[in-house]
Amino acid sequence: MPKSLAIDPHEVRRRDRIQAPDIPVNAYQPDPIAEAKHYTRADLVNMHHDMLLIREFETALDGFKKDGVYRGIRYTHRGPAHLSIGQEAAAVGQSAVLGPDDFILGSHRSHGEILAKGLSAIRQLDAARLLRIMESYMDGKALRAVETFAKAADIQSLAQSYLIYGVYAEIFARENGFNKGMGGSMHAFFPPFGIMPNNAIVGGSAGIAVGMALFKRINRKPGVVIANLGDSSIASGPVWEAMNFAAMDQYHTLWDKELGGAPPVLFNFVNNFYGMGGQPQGETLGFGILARVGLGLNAAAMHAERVDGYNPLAVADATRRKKALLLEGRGPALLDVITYRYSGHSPSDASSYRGRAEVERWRQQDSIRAFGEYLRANGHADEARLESRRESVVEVISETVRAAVSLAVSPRLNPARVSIGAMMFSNQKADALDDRQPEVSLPMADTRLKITAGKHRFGLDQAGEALPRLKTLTYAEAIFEAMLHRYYQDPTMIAYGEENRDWGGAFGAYRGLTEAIPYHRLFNSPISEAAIVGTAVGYALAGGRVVAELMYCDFMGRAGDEIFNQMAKWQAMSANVLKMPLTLRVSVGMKYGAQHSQDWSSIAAHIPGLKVFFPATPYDAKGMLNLALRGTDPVVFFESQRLYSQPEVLFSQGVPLDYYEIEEGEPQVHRQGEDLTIITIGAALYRALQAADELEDRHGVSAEVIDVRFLNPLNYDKIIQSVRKTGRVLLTSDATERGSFLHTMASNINQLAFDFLDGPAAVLGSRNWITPPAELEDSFFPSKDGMLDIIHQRLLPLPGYQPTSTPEGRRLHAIE
Amino acid sequence: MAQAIVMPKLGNTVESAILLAWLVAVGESIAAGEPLCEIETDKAALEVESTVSGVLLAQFFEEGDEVPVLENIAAVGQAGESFAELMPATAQPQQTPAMESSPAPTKPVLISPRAKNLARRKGIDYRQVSGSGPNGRIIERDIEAAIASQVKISPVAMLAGGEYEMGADIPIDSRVTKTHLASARHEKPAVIQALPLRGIRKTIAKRMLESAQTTAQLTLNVSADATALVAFRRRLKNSDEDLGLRQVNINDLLMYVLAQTLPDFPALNAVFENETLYQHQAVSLGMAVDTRGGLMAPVIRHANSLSLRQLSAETHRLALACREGSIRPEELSGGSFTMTNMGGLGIESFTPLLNPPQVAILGAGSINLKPIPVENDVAFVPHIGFSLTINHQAVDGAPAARFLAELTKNLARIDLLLAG
Repeated sequence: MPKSLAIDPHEVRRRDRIQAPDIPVNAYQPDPIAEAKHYTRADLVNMHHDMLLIREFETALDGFKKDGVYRGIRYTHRGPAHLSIGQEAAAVGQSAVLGPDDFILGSHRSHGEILAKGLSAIRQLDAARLLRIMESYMDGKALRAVETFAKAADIQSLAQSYLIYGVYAEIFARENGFNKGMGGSMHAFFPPFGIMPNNAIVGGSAGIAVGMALFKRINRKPGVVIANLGDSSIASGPVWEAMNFAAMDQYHTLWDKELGGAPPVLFNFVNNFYGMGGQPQGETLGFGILARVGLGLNAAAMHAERVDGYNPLAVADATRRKKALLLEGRGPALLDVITYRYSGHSPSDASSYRGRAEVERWRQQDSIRAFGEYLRANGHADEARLESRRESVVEVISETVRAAVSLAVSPRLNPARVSIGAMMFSNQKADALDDRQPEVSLPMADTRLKITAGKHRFGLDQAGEALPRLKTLTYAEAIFEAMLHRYYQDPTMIAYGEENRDWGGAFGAYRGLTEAIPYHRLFNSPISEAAIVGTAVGYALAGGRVVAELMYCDFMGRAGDEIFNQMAKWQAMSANVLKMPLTLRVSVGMKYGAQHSQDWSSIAAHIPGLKVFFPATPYDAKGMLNLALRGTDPVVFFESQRLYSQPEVLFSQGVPLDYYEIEEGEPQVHRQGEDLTIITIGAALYRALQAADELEDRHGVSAEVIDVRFLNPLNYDKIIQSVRKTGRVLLTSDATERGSFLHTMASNINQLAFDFLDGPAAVLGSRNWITPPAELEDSFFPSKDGMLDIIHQRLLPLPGYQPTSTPEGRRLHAIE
Repeated sequence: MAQAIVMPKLGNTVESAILLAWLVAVGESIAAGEPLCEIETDKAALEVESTVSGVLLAQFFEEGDEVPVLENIAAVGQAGESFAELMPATAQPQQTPAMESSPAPTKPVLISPRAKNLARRKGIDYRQVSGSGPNGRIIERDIEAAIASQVKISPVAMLAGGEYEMGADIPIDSRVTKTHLASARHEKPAVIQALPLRGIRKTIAKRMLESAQTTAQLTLNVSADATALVAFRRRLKNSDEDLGLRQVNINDLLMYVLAQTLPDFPALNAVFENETLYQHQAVSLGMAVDTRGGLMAPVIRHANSLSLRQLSAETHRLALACREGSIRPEELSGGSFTMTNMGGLGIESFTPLLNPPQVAILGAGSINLKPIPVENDVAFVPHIGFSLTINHQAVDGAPAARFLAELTKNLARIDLLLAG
């Protein structure tokens, strides 16, 4: 809580009552005369065309999925196809009022939104720009394919065919797809037209949309961001967290007025009344009318409205009004756009949960037919014109889908030729992601750097004695220096978490940043891990550098989807169209028991698409954070609460004041040895070094100690080299033993150095228990004595040694 | 409190050693680090030093006894202190050598890949090694210990049999003999001498039989023109004393020519183990040395890169060390080829016995005049006899003959060889 906002007991204890604004429900009044003034005839006919095109696009998919044929074109589509037939007006009405700079994000059911937004953007971009986009996107490969079949009269129609082809090819997993098929039906997108990632996780787009809106606001970029979400997703935690994050008071109370207020984000619930087989209205939720939820978020009730999604003009009107207030910084906004899908959730859905009569009643009000009648009735188009549009739509869909299913025109990506593994990371370096001057509050020399710069950079004097702690640079201060450096280099860099400002992070790593960095670049977030990571994903995807912080590693579970499905996946799912310069700082705890003391680095390492760093010394903390903060990849950056006050005692050159980076993936050999290798992750390094001392002094065994530092990527060369030399290896970390990443390394070592091993690689993790209270922790975490026990029992019996811990057999076999 | 001095452990497979002589009498003082007694293992005599200072209170074994390693052999302490608790239960001279036994393993041999690879490389039969790792697994250190002990038991001498006449008049060791003479007098008066094989003799007996039984031996004889050899030797003998070359003898010259010739014949400069022929780059040249205890075969490392003077000095040093019993175990192992010279004893040619796992051994005979037709006359030219025994398992006769041809050629032009 910033000191500038005092909590006045007189104020908060005063008797009062909350007055809420009215929530409009279907307030739009159709008015053909006014509408004819507002829209050109072409606008209106185009809306009808786009709805027709979306319907035909999905009809083809429906044919392939159900019958294996569409208009004589035979194809079997193995992947998903969540159709939105019936919902076209909601998509077209929305995009009719959006510009190319506005972003939309969607769900698994977003083919319609993608096409509507793309068609709208194509009409607004000039021919030269369109051509440039198509020529440059993936080296023009899709355009070359389109040129072989499209009978386009001009660049705009060529671009329409290009859009339809790109989405089809993506759905059919072809290399010409907008994301080389790596995204597929549920994730297709095309950033040049403002079509941002669609998300197969229900509600997954909410946090990402807020993050993109933050990017626009903080970096003063044009446009608004719309999250198209299903009605049922409103009950998911991450959507709730995202809406709260978008509604924070600080945008108005604490951030620079000149920035313009809240992030411009619209939560657009495409309300088709079904969530899988459940009905949120009347069955699985209690809001009655979804728009009511806006009342719970802020005093403006998120400007919530229910809108008739079967009238594209009602949707266009609401979207235009919301966009205007979002650009004024008065967001967030919420729309409850009612609509209806005729098809099931997916082709496997037999619609057993709804009556045929219900579907029939909606069909009778079909939006495309109704809007066609509206055009005819008001003289915008005659039947002949409408019919010719229908025919041209069928023609363009037929010729395009024929090319998209053809393996000759549209080959699939060949994993033997194109490495999907290489798509996992972008592996680029960027000092700054924009060329503006970074906004700061103090010259760098006047920041806390002047204090840390004056400290001892190495923790021992020449005699090897410890220097005074307070006068020696710590691990936490090494992190501060790396953060400060990047803040002053990259104008897009922001950081946030639950206590990042004023407090400086629960463990003080950001102490001194509050004075140096303005609010919008360093702020406190609600205690909403899903939103912290989810918004950071959006900020990074939009092109900004962001450092999000989770106070304890144990809270990763609260952001599980955001870390494992969003942060990890988008670079590869976009076939490297997008980058993810997101560093997630995660602190591994101790002393606080079962829910605050877990090392989950193994879980992060298990997920493809995440880089996983875990520095154990101040030198590595600064050098590895520097590395993470200049990269373009998602990094889960583990830190240990055992280490924040640790001075550098291992790298004798100390922690450089100047900028430097650790080479990615390279383990560090901290002690040379001949008889045994001890490999560590995290803070266990120091206990391993003690064990090595004792092995040397008491048993004449010379141990090599290696801190891997990186879980992914990890270069095994030094490890294998060492194990080939010593023949014996113990791996240890504070993570619980079962399923630990130590076992992955052990398995690789057993594979790569089998003929050199004098025994199987031994693993010592924490016990497979809850972390007991601080007073009992010694029985849980690996200790120096535990390491000696394992060495004695499994690798190299030490003459005269008496094990101190549980006998070998019990440790291996007990269910614990 | 009195403390025990133990028979040192000399390697994992050495189980016992012979106590040759006490160097300190009971009641005398001894300081830590001073020699207490002499012992002999399979191949060399060593001194055991006291590990504590004090008075020698007791000797638990007599000279000539075979004592298990790690057994207490003596007690040292303050005069009058009790040492009864230090007395070994087995402080009795063993009447018969311990039987070699290798009980059949009752469970699968557990061995790490690293240890297995090392054993294979070094030719160790790991099934005979006991494991010190978890669950009795044989680990690297066990094989290393076996290698170290193999060095100690391996090639003592072993030369071609035959030329050595085993007889009652050849003492193995005077100090050992004394004991046996004593016991012989009491127990077997009808026999002049009964000499159980011990130490070096025992090893020679085992190795020579093994050589004959496990290899396919073929001996080739040739005589070589020794004119240049004899002339060169004469020049050396008459050279200025300052040059230090006078001691270079015929044997040294033969060794030199041999060492220079072998690198071109890797098939003969080799060892044959486990169905594998390990050809050597460097020449590790063994030479037979006649000692009182028996034949020994010290090895000159990198003989091919030594000058004549260096080679001669090393040859003499090793021979002396063998005769004085100060030869180190590592100097007795690792040869890639051996030469045995009976020429000094007047032997013209003989059949040397191989020193396995080496695949060839060269015997040198005496130099004799040989009539050689020269135009219409006959000239008497000095010739030296060579007898080359090969293991026909690994080497064929033809390459062996080619080697002998090159050797005789090099010998005839030894002056040019030395210039090279």
